[in-house]
Parts: sequence; structure tokens; C-alpha cells
Amino acid sequence: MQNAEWLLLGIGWLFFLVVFFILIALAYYLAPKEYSKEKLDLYECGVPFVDEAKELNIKFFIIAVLFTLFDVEAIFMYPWAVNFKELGVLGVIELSIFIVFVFIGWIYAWAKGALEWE
Amino acid sequence: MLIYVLTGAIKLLVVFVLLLLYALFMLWFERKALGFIQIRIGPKLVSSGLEGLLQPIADMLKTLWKEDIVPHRADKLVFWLAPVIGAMFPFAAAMAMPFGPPLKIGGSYFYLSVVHVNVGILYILAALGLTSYGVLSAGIASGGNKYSLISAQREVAQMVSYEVVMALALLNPILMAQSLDLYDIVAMQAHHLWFVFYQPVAFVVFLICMFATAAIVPFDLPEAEQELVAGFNTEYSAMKMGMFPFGQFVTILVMSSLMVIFFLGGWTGPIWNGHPWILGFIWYWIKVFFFVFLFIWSWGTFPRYRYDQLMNICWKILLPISVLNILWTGFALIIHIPMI
Amino acid sequence: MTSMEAIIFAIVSLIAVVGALGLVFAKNPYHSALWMVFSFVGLAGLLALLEAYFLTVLQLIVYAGAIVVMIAFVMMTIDFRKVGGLSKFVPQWLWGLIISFGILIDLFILASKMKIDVSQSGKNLAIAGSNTKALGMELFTHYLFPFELVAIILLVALIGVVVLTKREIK
Repeated sequence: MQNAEWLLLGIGWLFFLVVFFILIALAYYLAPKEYSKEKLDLYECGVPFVDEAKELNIKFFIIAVLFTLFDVEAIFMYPWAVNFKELGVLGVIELSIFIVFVFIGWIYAWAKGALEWE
Repeated sequence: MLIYVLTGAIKLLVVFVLLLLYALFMLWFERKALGFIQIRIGPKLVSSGLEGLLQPIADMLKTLWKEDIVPHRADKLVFWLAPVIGAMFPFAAAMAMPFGPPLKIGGSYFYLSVVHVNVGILYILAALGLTSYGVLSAGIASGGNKYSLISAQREVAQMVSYEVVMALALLNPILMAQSLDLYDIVAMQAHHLWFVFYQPVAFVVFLICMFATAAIVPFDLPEAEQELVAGFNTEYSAMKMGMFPFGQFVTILVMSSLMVIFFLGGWTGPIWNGHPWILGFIWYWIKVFFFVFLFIWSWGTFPRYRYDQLMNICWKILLPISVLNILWTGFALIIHIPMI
Repeated sequence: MTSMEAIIFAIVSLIAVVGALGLVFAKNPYHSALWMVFSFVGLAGLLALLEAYFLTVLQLIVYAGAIVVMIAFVMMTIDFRKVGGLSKFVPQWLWGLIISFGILIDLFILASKMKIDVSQSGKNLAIAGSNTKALGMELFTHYLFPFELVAIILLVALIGVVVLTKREIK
């Protein structure tokens, strides 16, 4: 009955979305609303706000790309793990080749300084 | 099918209420335990006979009537959406989390989780991964508040980095059980030793990832008060702000149960062979709550890592170790080194 | 396809299409990214409807989880307001439209010729047990070469990223 389970998951996601939205909407409705200009300003603490998101360090982008690549690689290993017994020695060899490529990329990234944070 | 979905819907409501109660309990327990660690008393005045147990209910009611400020520079739509996303996905992940051993009624099993999907672990990882949009949205929607933005970037980069390592660490128990089903993985450990004895390295790696993905103290860079005020939810107030710790508490619970299921035998205990059902239930929750307590313990004990150290631990140490560990496990299973 | 399945199909495909339209028409790039996640969740729903559960979680982890985070991080390195001020469509929009219509027609022709019996999809695999297992078996026997090729493609992508950002790092 896997399809029923997934239907239930869909229902659950919708349920949580609606319930949490109602919760914060209720709190907003109940709350006192005595706004002033200062109250609606951003919290600055002496440091002026930035114009949207220009500040991002390129490092975060590299991390995001590395994450995407390694995540795909990690997910690719799951079908192997499930079939481990059936695939046997051959499977381990196949995966070793796969992992060698992953490692080459990882060593290259490290050698070129993509993993460094100063 | 209809009956199936209806029982599931009832289970969904029950789990939702239980998780809410758990989150309220955690609000109290966290403060009490931190108080104990720091030699303070903690909440005491509300319901003084019960050690302030009703404090979170008072807090919750107070939060409902707090002034709700949406800064005028904020991106209103995303600003409203972010807390919902941040709370919704941990709850969605908890839908696949077992709440106890399966009950045997007649010939069939009754599972104590809302859903019993055969790719359970990957589903939980997916749902927990989507939580990062709550944080990211909160940071971006805050209209250019530096603290929110920096904190959101940090937390998302941290969560995603450790997610990879977590997926790799969990692969080792899966290799031994050859199933993605959480119940199968526990069943496998009922016949053998717990996987922690075969996979100590994966256990330690997963333990570190647990703290890092939940952003708890040695790795709570996003909420580093001294430098980032309050982190990504600096601009949030009232119930919207309350949603984020809410989601975090549920994440902690889901992580703890994953830990127990994958490495510590789930509901099997040293002296349990499946029979009184309630004993398995108790074993399971003792173990899960030990890890929940471990989170708070570390919260009150450890200093914080620097961000570059955090990233180095993940990308330079944990990643190669867990990849090599997978190869080692595969190799060892082929030549029958561990007993399976 | 039973009527209930048809209703669910309508809902999830609506999610996917609305998400895609939102992605194209949203003014703010971050809204576009969130619409993209929405659309991907709809696509995951379609895969779940086909009983391809491994692909469903793959869609959620890799596409909705990883790739959109990457896109959001790319967006954060550029100035949002400047992007918002640009024209919504690239100059090549007409060619894009023609090509995508071509692909759509191609898909229609393909679908009408292949006569896929939707009611039978997943049935054989459901009998054989978990279809994750079947997928893995296929991947590591018949499709081994493409699988190893994927590793090389990912390696190339990684090297590309490191080379492109190398100047920035130093």
C-alpha cells in the first residue's frame, strides 16, 4: 500500500502548511498594532543595512556547487547499498571506480584552494 | 485504501499533537537543564509545585498576544512564508519517524508512524534538507539586515555541507541491512549486534553531523549572539519567531530517533527479544531521549567553533573519512570480516 | 487510471505547472527560486503517482534541495534590484518558444505512438518488491557505463567550477 502512504504524505504536508500558517496569522490578528516608523525600521545597531544581497562571499557559492555534486554522488551510492548482496564483488569494484573519480575531484578542489577559508 | 488513509489521518493528528506537546516540554526541559548545568534554578514561578512545568504554556499564550512587527523594508510574502517553511518540514520529516516498535495485531503489523514508506530514510533526509529554505527565506526577506543575511548564508552552507556527510555516514548501516526502510534496519539489528559495534566510525561521524545540521552549540555559528545578534531571525517577533525553535526541537527529535534506529538498535534492548511490546517501546524512548538530552547537554557545555574550522571539519576530515569508510564496509562485507 | 488517481494527478500537475509559471513571471529572483521549489515538489508528486518512490525522493533531495539552494546562492552574489529592473525576457525568447513548442509536439507524437498503458505502470515492479532495488540492479548491470560516465561528468563540473572561481579565491 505504498501509494496510500504517499498520498498521506501529501495530505500531511498540506496540513502542516495550513496549520502553521493559521497559527502565525492568528497571532498576527490577536497582536496589538501600535506601529511607529522607528519600530518598523530594520535592526541596525550602528551597521547600516546592505542593499539586498550583494555581500555574499564567492566561497558560499563554491560550497553550494560542491554540495550539489557530492549530494548527487552520495545518492547514487544508495541503489548500490540496497543491492549489495546481489551485486557482490563486481558491485564493490564498480563503486570503487566511481569513488576514485569523486576523490580526484575532491583532491583537485583542495589543491586549488576551493576548500580554504581564511 | 480509504480506511488506510483515514487511519493515517488519525495518526497524523495524534502525531501532530504529540509533537506540539513534546516541543512545549522541550521549552521547559531545555531551560531547566541549562539552569542545572549553569547552577541556576531555571523556571520556577509558574506552577511552583511542578518545578515550573507549566511555564511553556504561559510562554506560548504570551507569544500569541505579542506585537507582531514586519519591518517596512521586508519582503512581506517571503517574510510570512519563512517561519511556516521552517516549522513545516521538520514536522513533515517526523511523519516517517517511528514512534515505537510495530504492534502485531493478528497477522498484520500496525506501524507507529504516520507513514511507512519503503524509502523512509531518504524521505527524512529530503524533508530535513528542505528545512534550509525556511532559514534562507528568513535571511533574504529581512530586507537587507546584515545580521540576518550573514547568518542565513552561514546556516544554509553549514546545513547542506553536513547533509552530504550525513547521507554518506548513513550509507554504512544501509549497506549492512540492504534496505532503506527504517523498520527493516531495526529488524536487522535484532538478529545481530547493534550497528554501532560494526560501524563506530560512521557512528561518530553521524553524531557530529547531528549537532551540525541542527545548529546546536559546538556548531551554532548561525546564532552566534556575540557577533550576529540573534541570527537569521533577528527581524522576527511574536509567533513568527517562535516557529523557528519549534522546528529545531522537532529536528532534534527526528535526528535522535534516526541515530537510535541506525546505530543503537532502535527498540531492541540488551535483554529484549520482541515479547512484551511495551518493553521495546520503553527501550526506544530511553535511547531517543538520551540523545535529545545530549543536545541540551552540549548546548550548556561546549564553546563554539570558528566558521572556517567548521567547514574544514566537514570538507577536509569527515568527507574523506566517510567515503573511505563506505569502501571499507563494502570490502569487509565481501570478505566477511564483520560477522554478517 | 481510476478517478481518484486522476484527481490527484490533476492536483500535482497543477502544482508543477503553476510553480513553473510563477518561476517565469515572478519579478523578484528569490520568489522565482521558491516557485521553482514548489514546481519541483509537484514533479515529485507526479513521480510518486507513477510509484517511482526512489525517484521521488531523488527529485526532492537533488532538485528541490540541492540545485535550488545553489541557484539561490548564485543570486545572492548579484544585486537583486538590478536584476528586477531588467527586461523579463531574453532577446532570444521567440526562438525559445519555437523550440519548446517543437519539443512539446514531439512529446505528443511520441506519446501517441508508444501507447503507454498508464494503468500498468509500476505493477510489475510492485510484484518484484521494492522498485529501488530493481532500479539499482539495472543501474549497476545494464547501465554501468552511463553510471561511470556520470562520475566523470560530475568531475568535469567540479573542475569547471574551481577553475571559473579560482581568480576570486586568490
